[in-house]
Amino acid sequence: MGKKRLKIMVSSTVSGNEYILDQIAAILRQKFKYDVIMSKKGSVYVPIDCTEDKEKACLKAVEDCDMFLGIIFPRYGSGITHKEFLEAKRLNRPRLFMVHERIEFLRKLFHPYLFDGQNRRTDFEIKENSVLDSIKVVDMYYDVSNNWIHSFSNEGELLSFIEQQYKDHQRRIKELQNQKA
Amino acid sequence: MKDEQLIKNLIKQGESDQLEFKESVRKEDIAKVLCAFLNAEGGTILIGVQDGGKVIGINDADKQESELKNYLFRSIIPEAPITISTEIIGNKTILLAKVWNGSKPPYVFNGAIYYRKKAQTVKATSSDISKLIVERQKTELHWERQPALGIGLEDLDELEIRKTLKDLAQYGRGKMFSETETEDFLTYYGLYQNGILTNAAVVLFAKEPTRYLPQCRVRLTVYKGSKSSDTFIYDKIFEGNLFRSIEEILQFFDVNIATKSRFSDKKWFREDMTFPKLALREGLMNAFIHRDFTSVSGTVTVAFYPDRLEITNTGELYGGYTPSSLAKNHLSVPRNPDIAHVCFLRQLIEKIGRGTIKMIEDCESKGYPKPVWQSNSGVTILTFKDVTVTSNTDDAVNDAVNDAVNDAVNDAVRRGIIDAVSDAVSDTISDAVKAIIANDKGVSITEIMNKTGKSNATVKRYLQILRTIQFIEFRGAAKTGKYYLTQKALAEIAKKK
Repeated sequence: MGKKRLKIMVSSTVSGNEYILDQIAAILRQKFKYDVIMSKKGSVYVPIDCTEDKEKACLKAVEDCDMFLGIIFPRYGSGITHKEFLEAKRLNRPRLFMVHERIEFLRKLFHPYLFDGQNRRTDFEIKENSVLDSIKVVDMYYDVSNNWIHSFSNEGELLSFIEQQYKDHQRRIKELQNQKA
Repeated sequence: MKDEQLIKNLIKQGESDQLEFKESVRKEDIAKVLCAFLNAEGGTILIGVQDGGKVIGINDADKQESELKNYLFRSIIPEAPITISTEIIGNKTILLAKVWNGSKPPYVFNGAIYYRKKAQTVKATSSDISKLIVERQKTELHWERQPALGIGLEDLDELEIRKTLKDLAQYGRGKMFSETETEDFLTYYGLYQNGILTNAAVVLFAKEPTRYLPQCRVRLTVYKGSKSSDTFIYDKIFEGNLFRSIEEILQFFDVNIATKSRFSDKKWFREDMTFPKLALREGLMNAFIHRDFTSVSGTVTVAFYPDRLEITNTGELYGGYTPSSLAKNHLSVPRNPDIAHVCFLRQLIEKIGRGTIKMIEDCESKGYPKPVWQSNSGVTILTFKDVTVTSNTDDAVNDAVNDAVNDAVNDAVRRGIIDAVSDAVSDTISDAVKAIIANDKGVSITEIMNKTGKSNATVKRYLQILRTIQFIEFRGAAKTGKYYLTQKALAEIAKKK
């Protein structure tokens, strides 16, 4: 076996400032030598039989990756990112999640509304506003909250934490091999 | 120093960490180098110049310039202000591309991060990237990127945002947005982050920025003597956003700065010279983008003295620059890069790093002394010697007269002493008062007719109103006497000043 590059998928709810995803991809590629797949517009790896269906393509990309990096900004968007998160969990891909600090605040704030006495999810939803489009970002957070998670407050911190987390590339490869074996 | 000489001097210096020569417009190569400059200390590329410094020029420069501009804005991520201009060297045309060091590193071109090492552009190493991430974290702490409290999108000046979008479409200095994409535009340029506006957004686009950030105030004062402790004859606070304040101050300059006259050495004739408008605009602009906003008591002041104009901003020169280095071709990194970027999109910053040289040129060509920069004790002061306000169109007095006349007329109308008058009539009555004020020996009806351009009957009617409100009195014989302002009028006008 030569130095096989690990394939990492970056999946994020970011809208507007998509440049941060390009920066993350460049850092992972150039500093840590990962192959990077992103679910960002125009850059997702699209298998030939999925060209008509973006969602299918994104989920196929999750299947094809060795590792998964999910990022939750306070914006839910179309829901594809949520599905990617669930797929990564279902396939048990090694995964790390970076979560904007506001999400934990929202979780605590809305917890009494989100769950009833039997701890079942209610149909509570917020009215879309400039700081949050849907309370489903909190559902996303719940769905991954027993995973490897890190909070960040701005783009600079996000890059810095990603750097710290992926620093030990060789160890990460070994961990993966052990997991597969 | 002319542009051509500046560029010749640059070429003499040879390629370096901040300077690169390219023979032709190979877009990808140029983007790589600019990406590296953005990640390092900023820099300049001269296109149409061989490695050794020989100028060979390029064909079809205008077309190449606009194509290159479009390409660079789209391909370097995140978007950064990049100046591209055509320059003439002898009979050759070259392109010049210039950037400050970027405020959102790491910059990426074609999926890769480039870095500058001496005169070489290379892919950034692992440790270079770590350094860039540390720098990026520092920029997040910057004042202009902090969330502004208590303000929403509805508190922004739609007109100024629309003007910016229009300029983007017209000058192509960045990504274009339609009028319905205000939020996307603000987000893209980092002014709106996760639904919250930044301080930079308030400075640039708030309808009433001083409600949130008192330091956005700009004060303009005309002093009687040469010290700021002297009494002033005019004093105004501008509280609008950056674009509005600059526009209003420039209007004040246009109306009030005196024409300078000089007598030619050889011939005995007077030459009237206009003031160095471009230099003043640039100086004002610099005060805004380089000022330190962190203190709520910080400010920009514009002060006219009998012999000079001083533009002062809080914050000393930034980025290791000294007053003397400003006279050379330099790359003064703006203290407020997000604000500077939007000003760049608005064409308020013409060519990166050459503003101060242009200011010196403009002053010299208009026959004014060179501007002087001083930077110490927490402030930067820019002085334009001989730039003064004209005394015969004293705005302060005019405003005071208009206000005093309006109030007295309205009061008389309310009390039923005179019939209501239109605004136009009120303006002409004020003009009559100004004509009298300008001459302490009294003024005749004919003189007022000349000054206001009104007929004898009309002037007589207006003078009657002024007499009724006790603003004027007639002194002397019926045929030779003249009109004077009353003590009451002088007191009312003084109150308004």
